[in-house]
Amino acid sequence: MRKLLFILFWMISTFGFGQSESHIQLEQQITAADRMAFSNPDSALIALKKLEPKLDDDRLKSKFLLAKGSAYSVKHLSSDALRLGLAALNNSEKSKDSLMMINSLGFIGNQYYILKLNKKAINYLNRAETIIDYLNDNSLQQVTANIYFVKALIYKDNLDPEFAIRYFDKAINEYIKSKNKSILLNINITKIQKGYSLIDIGKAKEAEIIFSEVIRESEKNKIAEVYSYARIGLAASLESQKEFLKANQILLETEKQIGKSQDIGMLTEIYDALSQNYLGQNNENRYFFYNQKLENNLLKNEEIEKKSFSDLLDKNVELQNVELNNNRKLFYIFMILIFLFTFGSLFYINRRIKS
Amino acid sequence: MLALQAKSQITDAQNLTKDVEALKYSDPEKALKTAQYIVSNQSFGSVDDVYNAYLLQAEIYINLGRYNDAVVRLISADRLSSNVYNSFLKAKNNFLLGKIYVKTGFQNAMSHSISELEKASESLEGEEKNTAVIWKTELEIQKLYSEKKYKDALSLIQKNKNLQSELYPTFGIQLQLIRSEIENKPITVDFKDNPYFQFLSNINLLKAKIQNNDFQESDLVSLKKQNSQYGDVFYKEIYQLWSQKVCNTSDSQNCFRVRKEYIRLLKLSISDLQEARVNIINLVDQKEKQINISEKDFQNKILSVLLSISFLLVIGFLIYYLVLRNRVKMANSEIEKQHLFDEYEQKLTDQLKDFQASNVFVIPEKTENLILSKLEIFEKSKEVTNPHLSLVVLAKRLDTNSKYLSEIINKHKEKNFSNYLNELRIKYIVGKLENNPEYLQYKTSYLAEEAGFASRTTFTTIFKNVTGTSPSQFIEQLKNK
Repeated sequence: MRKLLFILFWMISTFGFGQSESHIQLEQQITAADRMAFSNPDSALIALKKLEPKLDDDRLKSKFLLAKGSAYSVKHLSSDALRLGLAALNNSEKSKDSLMMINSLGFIGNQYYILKLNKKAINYLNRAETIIDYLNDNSLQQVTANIYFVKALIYKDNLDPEFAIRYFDKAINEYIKSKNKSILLNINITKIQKGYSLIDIGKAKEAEIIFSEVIRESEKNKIAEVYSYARIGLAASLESQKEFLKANQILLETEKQIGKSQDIGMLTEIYDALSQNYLGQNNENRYFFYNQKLENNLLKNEEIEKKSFSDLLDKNVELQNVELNNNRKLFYIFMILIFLFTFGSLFYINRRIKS
Repeated sequence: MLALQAKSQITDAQNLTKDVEALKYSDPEKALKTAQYIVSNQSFGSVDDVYNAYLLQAEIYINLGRYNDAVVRLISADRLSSNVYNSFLKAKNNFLLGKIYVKTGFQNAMSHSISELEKASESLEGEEKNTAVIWKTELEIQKLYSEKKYKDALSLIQKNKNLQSELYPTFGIQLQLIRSEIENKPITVDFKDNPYFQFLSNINLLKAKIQNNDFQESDLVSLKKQNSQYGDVFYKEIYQLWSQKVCNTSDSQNCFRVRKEYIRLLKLSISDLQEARVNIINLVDQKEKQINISEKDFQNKILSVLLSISFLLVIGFLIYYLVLRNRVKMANSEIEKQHLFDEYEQKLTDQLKDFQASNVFVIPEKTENLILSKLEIFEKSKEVTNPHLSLVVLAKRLDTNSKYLSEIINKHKEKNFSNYLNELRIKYIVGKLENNPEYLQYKTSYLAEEAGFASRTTFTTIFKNVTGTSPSQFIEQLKNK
């Protein structure tokens, strides 16, 4: 679910505020780099580096810092992401730009949430919420909703589902108010999360209604990203109501649907749910079968993670080495220039002296 | 007094470090708290003490299988590393990093750690160097083990089994543990002194019992009860093996229970590893950035020094050039002035010649004779000693003009007016000296004044020119006569 959270957060900085034509163009370029950050953070960073010298506006600079922070966040460089978020906050505070302050505070809160530093995350998100309440600006609905969503997730993690539900509802209300088609994905993710919190407090029937609603919405609007998650949620709500067979049927269908794509993360969730269902049914064979599949998937996923992180680390080190080599090249060029300047000047002066 | 207090505080921090070392296996939680005390009160010890406390915490967390916590401590240690110059502690840091890299699957980073450890150990001596060599050997064995090169790992264990270090006394046990993992056999060594390794050995023993169908749940319960300080993650493999056994029987309730616990521990351990990896990415990035920054700083310093030297050289040369140019300019100007002066002088001389040529005058003979006779009278008079006498004054007294008088003196006396008058004055004073013996007693300055000279020096010079001797010698000669 964390990846979906990232998708949410680039939404934060996609609102427009450009004044002049050149600013609008720059803002669009930063937004494009921000979007790119989630699929290809290295390319996004290169694109952003090219834009940096053109930035002459505090708001654009803050937006630029947040986009850069997003790229680092995707590269799992949380400390860099946080540093940039704090720099954006500092910049927006200096320029007294409430809108960018809210964005920066939301971004920092999200980074702390990713680092599991929930107390710090809540602190920054509360600050953002205070400014939002003070401004009471309708154009901030989407940002407000995102902040409520992260706060709800934190309460959910802190095993406070009732408070989490309150914030999920607040987030859903804000998303609906913003009447922006692009937030459909956000609404449905929020609803899924709310569904799980409802199961946690024993309101499985309500959860079932919500998950079914999301399934319908995602089918209608072809939002493939949330469809399978909603079905897994629906099965979980049915399992809570001890309707194991129905739950199994949904899970097995979902397994079939996503089986070809080999989405290990999703399959792991399905096998986990299936083994839980068979445990509820006291079906040892099926339980052991799916539990073994779950184990295999967990181990397989762990291997994939191990490799991808190892590749990521190698890539990061390589990039740092490239920077190191570039610095060295620059250093040698400067040395040569200094020598040329010195000897050139001395030669010239010497000639003048002789003449 | 303050220095004494500081010294005693450092000793306290080091004493606490010794406590941590002593407790790290038997009571890891207490050891962690003690190390945390050093870390929380950073003024309590030196930077090295705090750094070492972080490393000890990381080491304990690695032992407890809490890799993310270990990485977090290593990140904190790394933030201090720029102020730490103790190579042994740096080598230890690389050793711990290497261990974490093995556990989290960062093979390339692991090789880097081994080479960094080797680099840090170059400046070490004695037991510390020996320990660094042992750490390096253990990392190499761990690397081979993680790459499933069991044969190579076993041969390296065999080759290094006799290595020992006072600063790392558990090396032998570590090797035994790796060997027992590879050979899937319980360890035969007695760990009476070390409850942690005893616990690990018991875990291995239980695993072997499960495989030999000799396992009783009570063994596990009692092991957990006796070793509550070490956490649940150590039992993951026991539950895995046990679940495989129990789920193949008809004991469904036990299968559900054991399997559930195994999956819980598996998820726990995977989640810890994943968080550790994210933090390692940040740690390595932090390290690489530090390297880049320190190299950049070094390069900037060199460039600044070079630039300063270059500027000084150029400015020095420029100043030298400007001074030289100024001198040349001045010399040229002098030459030019001289040239102008010469030209001007030449012009004047030419003009004078022209003037003289165009203004040749003739003194009537009668006038010339009259002036000559008046001059004869003047030469014998005391008037020659008049200090205010000049050509104009004399011409006036002789009722003529200075032009006529000068021309006649030049023509008949063959000298200019000044020499003529000076000679007359010297003759006058010589006459006085020869004819009046009292003059021989007078001082030269008086004689000069008497002769009409303004200064004694002028008188002496002219006297010598006229008579060939100085006034004093002349007087002496007269006295001797």
